[in-house]
Amino acid sequence: MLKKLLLTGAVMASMAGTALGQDSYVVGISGALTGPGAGTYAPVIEAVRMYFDKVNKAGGINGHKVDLVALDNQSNPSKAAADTKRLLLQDNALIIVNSSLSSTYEPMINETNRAGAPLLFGGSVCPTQVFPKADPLLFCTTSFGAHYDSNMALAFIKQAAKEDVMIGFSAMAIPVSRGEIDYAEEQAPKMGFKPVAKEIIPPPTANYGPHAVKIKDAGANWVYSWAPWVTQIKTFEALRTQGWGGKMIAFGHINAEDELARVKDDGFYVFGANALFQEGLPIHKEIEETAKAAGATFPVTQLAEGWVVAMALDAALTKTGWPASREKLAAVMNDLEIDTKGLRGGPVKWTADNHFRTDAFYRVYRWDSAKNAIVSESDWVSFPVN
Amino acid sequence: MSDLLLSVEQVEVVYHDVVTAVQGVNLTARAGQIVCLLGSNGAGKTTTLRAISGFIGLDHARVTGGRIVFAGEDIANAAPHICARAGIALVAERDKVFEQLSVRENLEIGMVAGKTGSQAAGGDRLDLKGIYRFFPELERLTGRQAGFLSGGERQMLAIGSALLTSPRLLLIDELSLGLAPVVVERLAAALTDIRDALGITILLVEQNANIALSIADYGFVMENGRIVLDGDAGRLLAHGDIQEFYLGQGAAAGERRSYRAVKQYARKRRWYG
Amino acid sequence: MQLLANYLTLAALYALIACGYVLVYRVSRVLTLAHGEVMMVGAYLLLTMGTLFHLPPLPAFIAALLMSLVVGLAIYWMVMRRMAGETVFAAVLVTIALGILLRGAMALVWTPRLQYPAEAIAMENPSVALGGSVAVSQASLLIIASAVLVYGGLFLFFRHTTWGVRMRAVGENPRLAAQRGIAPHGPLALAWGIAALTGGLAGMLLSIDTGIDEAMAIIGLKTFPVVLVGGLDSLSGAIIGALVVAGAEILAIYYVDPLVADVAPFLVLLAILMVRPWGLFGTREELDRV
Repeated sequence: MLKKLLLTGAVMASMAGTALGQDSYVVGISGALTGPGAGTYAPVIEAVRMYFDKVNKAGGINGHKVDLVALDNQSNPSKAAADTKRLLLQDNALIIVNSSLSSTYEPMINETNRAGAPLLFGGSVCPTQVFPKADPLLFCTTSFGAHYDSNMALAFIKQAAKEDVMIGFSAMAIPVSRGEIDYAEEQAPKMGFKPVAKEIIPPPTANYGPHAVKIKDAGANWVYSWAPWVTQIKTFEALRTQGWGGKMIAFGHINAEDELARVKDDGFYVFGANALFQEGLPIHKEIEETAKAAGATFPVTQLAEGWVVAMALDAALTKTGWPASREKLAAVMNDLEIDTKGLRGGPVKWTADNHFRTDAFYRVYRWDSAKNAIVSESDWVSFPVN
Repeated sequence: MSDLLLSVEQVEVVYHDVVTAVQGVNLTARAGQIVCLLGSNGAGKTTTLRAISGFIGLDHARVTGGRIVFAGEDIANAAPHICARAGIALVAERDKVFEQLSVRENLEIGMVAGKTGSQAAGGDRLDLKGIYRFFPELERLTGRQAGFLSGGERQMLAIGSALLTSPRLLLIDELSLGLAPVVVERLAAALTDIRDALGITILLVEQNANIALSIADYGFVMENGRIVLDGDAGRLLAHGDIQEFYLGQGAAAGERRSYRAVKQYARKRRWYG
Repeated sequence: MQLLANYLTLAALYALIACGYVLVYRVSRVLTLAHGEVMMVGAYLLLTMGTLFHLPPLPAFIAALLMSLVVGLAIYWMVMRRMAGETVFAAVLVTIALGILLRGAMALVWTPRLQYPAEAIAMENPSVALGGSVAVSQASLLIIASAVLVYGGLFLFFRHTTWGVRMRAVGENPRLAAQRGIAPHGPLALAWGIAALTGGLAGMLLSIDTGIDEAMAIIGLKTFPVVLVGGLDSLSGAIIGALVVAGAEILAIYYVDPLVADVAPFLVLLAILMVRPWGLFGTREELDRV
């Protein structure tokens, strides 16, 4: 009799377990929590987690909790593939988020396409497949985008420069960065600039001095760099060490805000798609409060990128309703407007053709020593994406 | 008769758990004696010295039977530096000095590596001056790198640095190997001086039976891992077999025999595989 | 002459990292492939001296250096000591595993983001003008000074102190050293400890200049050719190796292509291995191990 009771109890418990699992939206994340590039990706994943912990506490989306399963792929392609498979088959994830190096893209894309699940790139560089004409299942919220970034930077230099521009470039010796700088070098003459130096710097370089010297000796008065943050900042600091007095503009990665405050140099500009926390918008305060309550490991200034990813997921799941399926979710995402509450210059809009955004918004910031604070150089500038 | 300093009792040494190199060896040395261990190649003499000085473990070998009693304690299978601190110093056949260190540094190594009261009987702690008295050549060579010394000088340095560890028992493996006769005589005379002055015990492994028996008090003969003969040095010198096998006397040309050929001598060997 | 200044800085950095490899190899015959990670640990320790204890620069450095020494001793005592008597290959594999372990631990404790010890200990890194439009960072000057002091100190230590002679003896012939009464643990532990100290110092100074990030471990690995070129067991060889390899790298950046500069150390290594496989100053018998 006791045995029967126990057995029935066990069966019911297991059924309840699966029932619970089926009662929530399952979102899978495969990202670099450790390993190469983790400094860029781990904060994104933490932000997404914090966001949904808060949402779940408030009752979830459409009355259902969001079950976030995050696996560490250490930017390793085979691990990324295996993890993605597991998230899709075992955890029945509706959507997968990629937040790691581009070497993990192809393996993950194979898995998600095969399962018919949407793949969202959050925090990792947007692959060409999300731009028009977009691949049906690939989406990207990441703030930086090839070619549009350089167009913005060069446009800014044009309106900010007070004399003829002799422009130097700095990139990291990885395909994405090199490609973008090559593009910028091509565009520069069209803006009336004279390209004088282009340094492609291998990642594990101990001393940026030799590279900086070449840029300085070539006579550059403006420098543009589009690369992982370390390359950008070390180029700049090496230039300044050697007494270079020009101005530099670089892409504002997640740690840009802290770095501007650290370097405190009036001639160092960053441009980006996320509003910096010094603006003190309500959304910033919301993020700060959530981070404090959750005991975040990363500085709050690095959480904006991940927050946008979470907002996108939230908007998509909300619109999909319940019950959800991969097809329904993908269809919703093909026509979605994500309200970023001021974190971005405007809403992120996806259409059937464009899974990047219909308009790319940018803002430029720099340190102002007179005010002892970070200031924004202009209002939001937008570029249509087509 | 002075005290028994070293007593090797029925010792068996096995390599790699299969090859018995030394089986049932008994030998003794009394304080202040010069004892020699004779035998042809492969007899197990070096293994015995290594067992006494603690180096057995480094060659994948173990003392599997018997005891090695030194100054009242069984030191079989003890680590080398434990044996060293108990008062045993080894001058090995190869690797006897630090080639990259200077002569002076070689000598000082022995002195500073802390001793625990193993002074030679009846003497103050030995110092560099003492060594130079036995081997004046070393004083001339203090700054030279040991790798550049001649064979004889190297042997002197090895003995000197071993002595500076203030041992009670000095083990010397193949004193005369590769050295000219006049150098060997010089070394042999030095050993006698050292024993007389310091009162230490010397166990000498030698293939040159002539020189060994000329300075030794007592001798043991080893073949195939066993002691086959022992006695006072004088009696051994006069022994027929010794004269024939080791001193090159008595045998007709082309008819050199060794103990291996002697019918009465029964050998047991355990083979690998 | 900015080129010369950059060259000397890079050479000094490589030399400072290289002496750790040589020390460990010379005394224990083990090639440590965890040295890059040990450098990072040093830098993180310096960071913690600032963030946790709010120490000013000089005490922070001294404390972090002492802790690096302890880390090295601990590596020997808890890990490498048990590899005594195993093959060299096995010991090298263990160092690789140790490196992976350290990396994971560092990511757990300090998170993977870019950090700046200089900020944490309130240490300035101004540009220092050396005359004639040549300028380097203060940290670069410290690296050069440290390399000189460390090598000078090591040479004196090995020639003239008891422990130095013991370490050389154990490194040359551990058996004979044991027979002369030297227990191997002391010299071996000290070798690992000093290696961790010098590696940690290199990591700390590098992090003052450019922050802590994962590239530091790769720079440690890039120094491996420097050591092989100079001869695994020679300190003076390490200096020469550093000068040669840094020279090749700087010249490649200026006159060939910066991307070639990344592989320049390995090209130099290839050339040396073809001509003189045991390194410029190494002892010939090391060939098997190489």
